[in-house]
Amino acid sequence: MILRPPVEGRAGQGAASPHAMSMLKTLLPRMFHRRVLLLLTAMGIALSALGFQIVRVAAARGDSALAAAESKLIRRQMTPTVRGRILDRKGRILAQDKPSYDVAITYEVLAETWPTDRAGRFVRRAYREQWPDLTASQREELITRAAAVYRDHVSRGFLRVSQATGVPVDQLVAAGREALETVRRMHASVSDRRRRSDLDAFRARNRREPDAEELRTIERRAGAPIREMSQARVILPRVPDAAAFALRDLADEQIDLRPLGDDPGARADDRVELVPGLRVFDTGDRDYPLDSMEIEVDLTQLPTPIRGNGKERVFLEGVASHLIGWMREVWVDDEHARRDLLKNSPSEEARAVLDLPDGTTKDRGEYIEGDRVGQAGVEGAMEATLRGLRGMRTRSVDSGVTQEIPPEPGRDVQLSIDIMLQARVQAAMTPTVGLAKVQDWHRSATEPANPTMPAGTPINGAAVVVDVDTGEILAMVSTPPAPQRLRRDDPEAVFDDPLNLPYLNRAIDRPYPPGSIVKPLMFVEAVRRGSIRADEQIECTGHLLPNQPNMLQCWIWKRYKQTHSSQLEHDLAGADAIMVSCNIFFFTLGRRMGVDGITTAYRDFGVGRVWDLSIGPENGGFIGRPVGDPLELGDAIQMGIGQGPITWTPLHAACAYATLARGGVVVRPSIIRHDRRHARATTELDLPPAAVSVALEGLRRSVNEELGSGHAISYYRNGVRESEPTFNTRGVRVIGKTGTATAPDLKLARAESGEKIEEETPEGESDGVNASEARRVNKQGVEVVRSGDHSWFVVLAGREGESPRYAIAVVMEYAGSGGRVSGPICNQIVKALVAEGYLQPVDAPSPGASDDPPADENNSDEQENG
Amino acid sequence: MPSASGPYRSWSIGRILAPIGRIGPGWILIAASLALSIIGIVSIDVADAPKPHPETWLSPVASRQAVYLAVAVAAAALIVLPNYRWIAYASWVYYAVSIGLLIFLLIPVVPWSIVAPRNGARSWINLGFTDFQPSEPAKIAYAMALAWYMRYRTEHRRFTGLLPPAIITGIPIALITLQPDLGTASLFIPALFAVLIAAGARLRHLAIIVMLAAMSAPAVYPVLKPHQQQRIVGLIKQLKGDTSEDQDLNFQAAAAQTLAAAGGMTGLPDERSRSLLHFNRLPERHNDMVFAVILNRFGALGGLFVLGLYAVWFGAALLCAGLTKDPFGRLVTVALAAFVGAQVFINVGMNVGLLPIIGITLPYVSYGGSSLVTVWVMVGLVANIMMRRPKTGPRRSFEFIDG
Repeated sequence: MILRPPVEGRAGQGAASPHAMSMLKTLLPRMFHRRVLLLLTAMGIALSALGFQIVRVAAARGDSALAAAESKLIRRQMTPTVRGRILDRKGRILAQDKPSYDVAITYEVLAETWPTDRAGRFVRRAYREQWPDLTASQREELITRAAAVYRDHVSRGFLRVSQATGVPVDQLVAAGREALETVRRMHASVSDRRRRSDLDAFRARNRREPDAEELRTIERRAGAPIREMSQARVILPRVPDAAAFALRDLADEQIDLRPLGDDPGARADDRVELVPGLRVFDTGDRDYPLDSMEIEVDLTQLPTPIRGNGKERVFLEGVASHLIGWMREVWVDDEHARRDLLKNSPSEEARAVLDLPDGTTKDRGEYIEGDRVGQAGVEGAMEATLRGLRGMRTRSVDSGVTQEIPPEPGRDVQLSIDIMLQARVQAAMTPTVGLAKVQDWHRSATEPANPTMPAGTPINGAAVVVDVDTGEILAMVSTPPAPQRLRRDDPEAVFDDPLNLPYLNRAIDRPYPPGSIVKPLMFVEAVRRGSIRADEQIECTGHLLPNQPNMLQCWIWKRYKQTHSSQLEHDLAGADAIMVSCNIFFFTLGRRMGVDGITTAYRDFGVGRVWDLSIGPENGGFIGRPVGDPLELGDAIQMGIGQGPITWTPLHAACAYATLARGGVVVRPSIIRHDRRHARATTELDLPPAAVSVALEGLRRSVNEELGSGHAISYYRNGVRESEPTFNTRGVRVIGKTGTATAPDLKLARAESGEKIEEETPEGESDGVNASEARRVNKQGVEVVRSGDHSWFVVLAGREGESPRYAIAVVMEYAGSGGRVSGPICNQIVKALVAEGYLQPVDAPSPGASDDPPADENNSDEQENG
Repeated sequence: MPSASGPYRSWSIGRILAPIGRIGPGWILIAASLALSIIGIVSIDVADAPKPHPETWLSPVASRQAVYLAVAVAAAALIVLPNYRWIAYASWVYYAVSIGLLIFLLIPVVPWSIVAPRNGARSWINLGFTDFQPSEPAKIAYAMALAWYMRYRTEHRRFTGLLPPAIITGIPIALITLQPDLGTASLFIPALFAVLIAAGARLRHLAIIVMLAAMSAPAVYPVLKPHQQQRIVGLIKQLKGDTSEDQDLNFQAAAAQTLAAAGGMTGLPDERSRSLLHFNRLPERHNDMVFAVILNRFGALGGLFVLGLYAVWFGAALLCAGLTKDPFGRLVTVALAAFVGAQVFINVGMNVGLLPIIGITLPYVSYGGSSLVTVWVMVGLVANIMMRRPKTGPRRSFEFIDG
């Protein structure tokens, strides 16, 4: 272009720079050209801005955007894992997973509202702007046309399910209709109830009948959908695995539907599930194969008053259910707990958490809706071990390549429990057998009957068997049991029975006053502390305080106005005192040891400590007054005989006796085998060996000598008083101690709703004087449902002539005499140990033979021991 | 330079084609248009076929676009044949016919077989063998009518003199907005401004109008349809970095930008790019969002190359406007260039997240027959204007003492 000098060379008005403007005018003499240049400049700026943004976005977001875009090429599916099994010490399966899948269809598809709803939504979207202008019939026609396509799609979906499962379509449709009918029936009954209550409320409020408009409102409220109407309903329960996997893949597929065909007005597709509403639920049943079983009880081995002929099969339910626990649905708390676990355990995090290519992470063990979570017992406490990790199947949608991270099955947990021994112990404690229900011979002739527990009342209690050498728990029973079936079908019977508390594991989670069973322990502790010499004698004076014959009595004084010194015709040495369970002797020890000494003595034997067994909550027992008042000497005196402000659990009792049997070596009890969390730590109590032998001698005499408190049970037959030894297993040496512990009353609020337990706290009371009865507070609305003494018996059992192998503790609640109620149960447990091969009686060549000794040989047994 | 008068006296192809030699910078325009169209076909193929297909040339949609391109080039060649002045005499007729068609679209009683809403807009007439979008040729008719009206005038130097051009512009804007097709309607305003600037309107007046419009813009918001409001809300959230709407309101924009950025600087291999585009389900990916496809496949550098082609195209068009002395030719060229420039800016802007999503195509590149034929007819018209541009101006046009 030829540039010419300016023709009209005037300075531009309002130009930013007159000089620049004139330069421009020299260069571009034509105004049109300058204006075109202006446009060109504007476009240049606009394109530069776009160019800048393009480069900026590519540089700043390139990598993350690529990852985000590529994540759409990947379909991830978590594959289920298997929960670990729970085994007993011999490898018997106590709990295992049974895979199980249910096929469900969403309610809207079953109710056939889905095609029309979906069609309405689609057409409205496709004709967004025209919708207001369309006539009703035009709308109708469009929706009807689209709905037919959706309906067709549903039918094809059913066909696909039928092909995958082999179930005929008719049958699927029928099952769907049945599921639908069930929900409709539920809805009808709920509506009915709502309508009636609304009408009643209306009449009560307004004192008249509702008019038409108000009736419509009530009707609308009554007809509101129920929750079941928004959920998928199961149409095929428990489909085979292969079909379930195929259906799972189907449920993930989507396709584009073109509901209005090639209508030129409707280009848009609608993306729908390949099989509308299909859901596959992984219901993963947990199976407890030995929760119920039949156990043969030899009736000939029972105490004479309930002895029968031959054997009876006793049906047991809930065997070890307290230890095993159960499964429940997932709670929000579980997700929190899982997050905390990962945060606190880097190794677990490394194992479970996958880093995905798009920068996110995936916890293979995360809790998702529909998961089952262990609750209570081992299932609850060992959740992280048992649970396992899901696998992940990654499918690349463009290449079709599938990668698989296999699921990591949960680890098995083996218990030290022998489930057959456990079952035998539970059988002995089953009320129908007769030992664990109130019998006339459970009390002596002079004792009054327990008004709260008439004859025949089932007695709740707990029993523990501990291996003395290893501290392993072989059996742990709490009655009443909490059967899996009952928990599923009638959870209130398990969780809402304040009188019996079936869910409670009494063996570790309910504190009891220990009573006289602590006497040998107090003796060795007193000797160790120098409060008494091992061979020192103390006189039983009937009552501890010379001028107070009604306080701090010995049981023999209270019942017979006698003293043990006069009965034995000499003052009592330690073994004598343990044998006859003299209160005065141990009151004296308590007084000599004082508050600090006796508190430490109890702590040495485990009071106040839990062992973290991993079978659910444990109670450590308690020393001290609940309000926190300091203990006084009077408390120490009471604690000398296991009364006063002191509680512990049956497991504490068994462990304390095992410690005594080991000569003072404390071994942590355990129930999970190969539990790597706890090193097998032992501590030494430094008990004087002489004192230990005296205590063990006392225990031997208590069970095996005429005057021993645990020697015999007596009963009246045809008006004649007869008696027989408590323990009668030939070739087995049983030593032990009874305890009849004064217990606080069990009180329940009488109000019909919100039943609640109010337990009176243990006070310093003597064994003899039932002070709680004396000061019975019968407040309005509170009913004393149980009163009386807890019945204890703790024994050490071993082969004749050898050291004890097993410590057995039994407590029966409010059952009265330790020797009469818990003693025979202990005896049955000893027999169970023999039957299961844990004790080989000395004379018997095989374990089975001693199971069935002739009844009349028992007396000779007693004489030998005497 | 060969002369049109000269040896060819009789009507012959030679006589008709003689002025081709005077196309000059119009060739640059044609070359840029062809390059963009071919890039368009390649990109549409990438967007359409989820896998490379070496055994077939083009995917169905891309082959259809190739046919459209042939039709469009033929239409442009046809437009070149008669002297543009003969065409220009009927400018008002084209304008009237366009307005008529735009009104026809809005008549409710027109059966659906002829005008069927698509994505909610009554923008298409079904011709049987293909669909036809009257708002596309309406751009050319409008450009010609406006240029025809303004070609000898000076009234637009006064503020009130701006009213007649505003009315000429307002009628198609109103009718297209009613379809509703806000995207296409919005292109008429930059076209008008470009013509006014080129025709020498006082910049002060235009600045006042722009300021008034900017101030009244918030008042328009409540009048907008809900889906239009949502897009503005979506854009604001997006610019603030709020990703809460990425699966919903902003799905199209978020998907487009993710895919665009995923291309990085140099783009992705063919197969990868196709997979990503397919499985990220970018809506309108061979149409309004084709620029995101280009960025994904060819990267930011490819995008810059395409922008460069548009810059060349725009520069060439304005050079053509500068070279002719015919006032009608000047203004038509500026108006057509402004349509294309505005469309490029808005379309690319919404693909890279600077502007809300409104449905307009990327000229020459996006899939669509009406659009492609229209932009090629524009090229033909400019070439025609160049071929028959007067050697000496009848008089000076649009020369005023200020600016």
